[in-house]
Amino acid sequence: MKRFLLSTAFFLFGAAVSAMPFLSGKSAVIDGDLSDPVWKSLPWKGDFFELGTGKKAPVQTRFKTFNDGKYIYFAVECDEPAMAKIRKNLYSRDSSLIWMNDSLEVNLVPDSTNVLSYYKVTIDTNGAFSDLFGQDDNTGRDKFLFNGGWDSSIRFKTKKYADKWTMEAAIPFGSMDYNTKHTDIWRVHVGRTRWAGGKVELSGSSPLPRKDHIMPKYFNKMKVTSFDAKKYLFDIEEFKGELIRKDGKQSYKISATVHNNSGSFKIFRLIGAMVDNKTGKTYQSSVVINLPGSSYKKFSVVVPDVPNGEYTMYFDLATNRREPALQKRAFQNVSVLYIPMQLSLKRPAYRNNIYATMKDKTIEAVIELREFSGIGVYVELKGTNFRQVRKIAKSTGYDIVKFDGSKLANGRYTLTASCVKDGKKLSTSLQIRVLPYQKGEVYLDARGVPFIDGKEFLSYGWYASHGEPDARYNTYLNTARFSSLKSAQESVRKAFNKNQMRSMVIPFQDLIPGWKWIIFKDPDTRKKGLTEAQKKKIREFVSVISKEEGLLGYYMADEPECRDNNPAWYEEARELIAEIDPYHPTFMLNWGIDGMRRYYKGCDILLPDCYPQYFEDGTTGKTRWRPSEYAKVATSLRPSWMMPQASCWPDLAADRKTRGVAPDYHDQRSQIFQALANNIKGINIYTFYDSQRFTEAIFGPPAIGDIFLAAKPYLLENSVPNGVQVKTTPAFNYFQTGLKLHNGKICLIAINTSMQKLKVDFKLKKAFTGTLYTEGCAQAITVKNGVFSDTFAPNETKIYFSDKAIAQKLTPVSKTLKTIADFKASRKRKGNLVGLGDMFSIEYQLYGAHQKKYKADTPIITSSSDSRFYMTGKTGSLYYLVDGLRAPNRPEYTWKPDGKDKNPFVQFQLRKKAPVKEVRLYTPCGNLQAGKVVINGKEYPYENKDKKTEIIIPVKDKAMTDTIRIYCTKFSYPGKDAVDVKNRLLSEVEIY
Amino acid sequence: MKKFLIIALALVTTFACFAQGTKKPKVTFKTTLIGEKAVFKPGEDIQFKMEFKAPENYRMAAWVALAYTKNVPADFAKAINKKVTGKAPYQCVRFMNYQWLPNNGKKEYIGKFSTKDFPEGDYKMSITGLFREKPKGNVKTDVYQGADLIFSIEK
Repeated sequence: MKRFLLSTAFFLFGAAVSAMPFLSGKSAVIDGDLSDPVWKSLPWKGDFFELGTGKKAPVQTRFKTFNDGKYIYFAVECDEPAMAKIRKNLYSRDSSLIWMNDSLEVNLVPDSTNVLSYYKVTIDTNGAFSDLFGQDDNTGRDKFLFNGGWDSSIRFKTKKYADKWTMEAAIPFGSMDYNTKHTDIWRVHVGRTRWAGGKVELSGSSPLPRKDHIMPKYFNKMKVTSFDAKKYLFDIEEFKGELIRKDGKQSYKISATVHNNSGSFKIFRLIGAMVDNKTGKTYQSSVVINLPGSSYKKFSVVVPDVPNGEYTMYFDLATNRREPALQKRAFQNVSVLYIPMQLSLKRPAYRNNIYATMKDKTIEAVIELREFSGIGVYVELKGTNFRQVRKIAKSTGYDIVKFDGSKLANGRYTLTASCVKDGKKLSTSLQIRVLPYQKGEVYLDARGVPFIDGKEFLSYGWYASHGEPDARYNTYLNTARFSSLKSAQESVRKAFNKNQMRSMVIPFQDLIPGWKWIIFKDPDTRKKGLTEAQKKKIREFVSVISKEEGLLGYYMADEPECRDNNPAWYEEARELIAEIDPYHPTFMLNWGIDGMRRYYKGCDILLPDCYPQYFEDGTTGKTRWRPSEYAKVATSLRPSWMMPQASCWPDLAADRKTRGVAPDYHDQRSQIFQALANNIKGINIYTFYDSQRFTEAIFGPPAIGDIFLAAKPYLLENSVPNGVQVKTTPAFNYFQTGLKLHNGKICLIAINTSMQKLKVDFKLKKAFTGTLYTEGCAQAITVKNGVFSDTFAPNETKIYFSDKAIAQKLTPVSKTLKTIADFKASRKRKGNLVGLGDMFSIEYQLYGAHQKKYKADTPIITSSSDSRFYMTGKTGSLYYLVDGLRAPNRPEYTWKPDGKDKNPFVQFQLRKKAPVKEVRLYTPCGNLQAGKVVINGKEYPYENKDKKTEIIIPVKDKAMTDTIRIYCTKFSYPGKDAVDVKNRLLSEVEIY
Repeated sequence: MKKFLIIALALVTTFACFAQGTKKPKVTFKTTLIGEKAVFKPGEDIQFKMEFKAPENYRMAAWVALAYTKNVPADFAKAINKKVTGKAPYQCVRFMNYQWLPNNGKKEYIGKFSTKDFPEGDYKMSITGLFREKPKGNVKTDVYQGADLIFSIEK
């Protein structure tokens, strides 16, 4: 009935087309005050709908709109009975968090029929805003990817009153892109996110069927009277800027080719602008240009007196009328940096440092002269008691000099290049450090490959937790906020000595108990530069922890874009850390491409997390080839690693019905090998503590780890550019490949990221003739001159080796899949009245939190107490006692009474009575030594003097019951570490 | 040999005469909108100055404004109810007749045309000047020279 009403509401309101009138010569003064005569002449469009219900929103909003042929104007009035409670945290321009304030969003969809893209501006009462362009992600699921690649040129103002707030805005038509299919029928939706009422309320002008503003196909249609897309059919291409120096003055030439596809002659005012990204200062110049219909021409404008800096460069085409109106815009970020003489190092490739364990210690410097080649250049390398010179008689404009770094004593050196031109001396320098050996020293080569103590290192490890020692895993991302320096050192040493895992640690440590940040409070203290207190703390921590052999590097941030952190804070921190500790790199984790682009300068190695999100119906939240896209962007910015998903996330899809699942073995391989095919040099998996309840995650990562161990030298190589051509049948554009060559031998990675069977014809750039073997030699493929064919099952990844010996070492994929299937089946034992086996993640939540009705076969489990972890905080531990993991590798999947519990028990209530003949208890290390089972008031005592891990309690009279209570009266633990399976009491209970 | 020389001389003379007959004088022609503005309301007259430099035996005899379709709004011809003539890329709309000028020896004139029914948009109107020998004109020796007027029509 609810769905019918919603659909009806949508039909009634969605089908009707309202109008945005065209008022020629009218405009509004954009000051937030809606008393302009033009607004008075227009009716309100209200009432707003509560999203997801179709009902009138309890707190109302209304809006008016019109256009004058140049701008679209909006006036919005928000009733607000709790003005004092409006959320107004401070966010920067384009922050992804603005919606977390009381805010409005204006959504414009010129493509009203296909709805493949649209424009969204979100505005809060502080005047912060984000303007985003959303594009359909091409998976047929009405999902949109947003990017900040739209500059709306919006003018807007908000104003607050005693019982309401208003917003007034003007958006130029010319800020959006159009094509010949766009008509005057758009979709327009004004949305509101209200927090002042205590909990989030989403409402909007269109009756959207879900509690979600991102549903453009359901936005109401609106006739944008007088809009003619033909007026805006221009393209700007080959957009670029160029620094010009003349007579000591610096200007910036902005040029582009303008295509006039409108069919009409056009006169533009071409406005070139450079906006300083730090100060907001604008340098601008304009020229009047014209272009006949259906023609194109290159134009440029020179902006004078532009100093060095970071800018957003604009190429704006506006009308050359009484009031110029934007017709088309191109913009991009540029660095303006004039260095008449530039000095850089090709070798060493990382941080300008020479490490003791480097085999090649050559210093190879490049000297570039911007303006005057042909003159002599003098290059000097100077240190304490050391000086060497190279002379270039006549510079070519690009010259290389070398020094033998292996002959240099440890210390700091200055490399200086200088020349004299017209009597003026030009000089530029850089610093080089020759470092004494430190055990565990880490550096990167020109490929981005990490070296530890001079040996190539391929990271394979886990985020935030790990299991028992396993040679496959060599890194551990430790997210702890340590209470002291000593605890930090102990933690790093323990992971290294016991597990042979090198740790990444957070360098920003307050070093106070309670897992707290005060000096480094996030995001409050990360909006400007480092404070003196922060610098002091960084020095205090880094100078000590850097001495640990087991340290791998510093984990700078976890998705800082979600908290609107200032990228400059991290850049400054990175510089300071590199100065204090040259031996360990810094890592940055971002969840998206925009985040990587904003924050990459704050690290040496990017470590993005691309979680595709997997669901029980085979669908994914992101496209299955998204890891490749992430890897390509990341590696274009910095050497990069990747964090693939091994856990289930989210528990439910957006429809709140389809259940999330952990990635299966094919999904894991697809993520990881897409990354490696695209030159990722390390993997850190999310996350051990959460994933080890899923059979796939218990067996999949170790199998992949075996491949890492066997094929490390191949996997660390960069893929041969354009090394593989493929043709798939049926045609599929996102088949991924990477051709690795090592010592003349081949490793070919091939991933089918579709869910259909494909026949693939390969052509390798390397004209190889011979045999390629897949893992375990499951296949032996004949290749002639680099050409061969193979078939791929849906979602299948294959790794081919020309070296049969390597392929033989590896387990065939089919065998790992069988291991997984067998184990899964074994988790639900026949006859076990309470066993649920391998569960969905949501089921742990639902049963554990008693949120929903139980399934027919689900026991109701209660206990006297429950000592929980972060992961089990909401779910509790009890349903981990029936998931079939008798000897789990994480304490979270076990139960333990809390320390104050004097009479601990666990109770199982069956849905219906059944004869119980046996109870089995599984206890780590034999910790449970005695107790009793109580059924129908009768006691069945048990003892475990031999400290066995399995206790079998017979119920000789086969009691008919629905309630079994198990008391644990005597137990002890071998240690005190709370985060150790060995110090837990029960891992599984079976009742037969 | 003699016959050859006579034929050669005849040919040279013919070419010389031909060359003399097609050699047109150099005329420069410039148009400038009168007043500061370049944006007009529909229906307003566009006034402009025409200046030229030509040999002493030439005068400016007439002018006409011509709208090439690629240099005016796409709906221009339809708006003023005129036909488009010619072939691409020189299709044009002839919306007025030549305007004849008095033989008064001036070196500059004021031209004017109405923008009645002109649609809103940007224009590059071609103004063609006709320059004629004096005192007696000869179509064969007429010189046509063009210049552009760039302006916009906005309500």
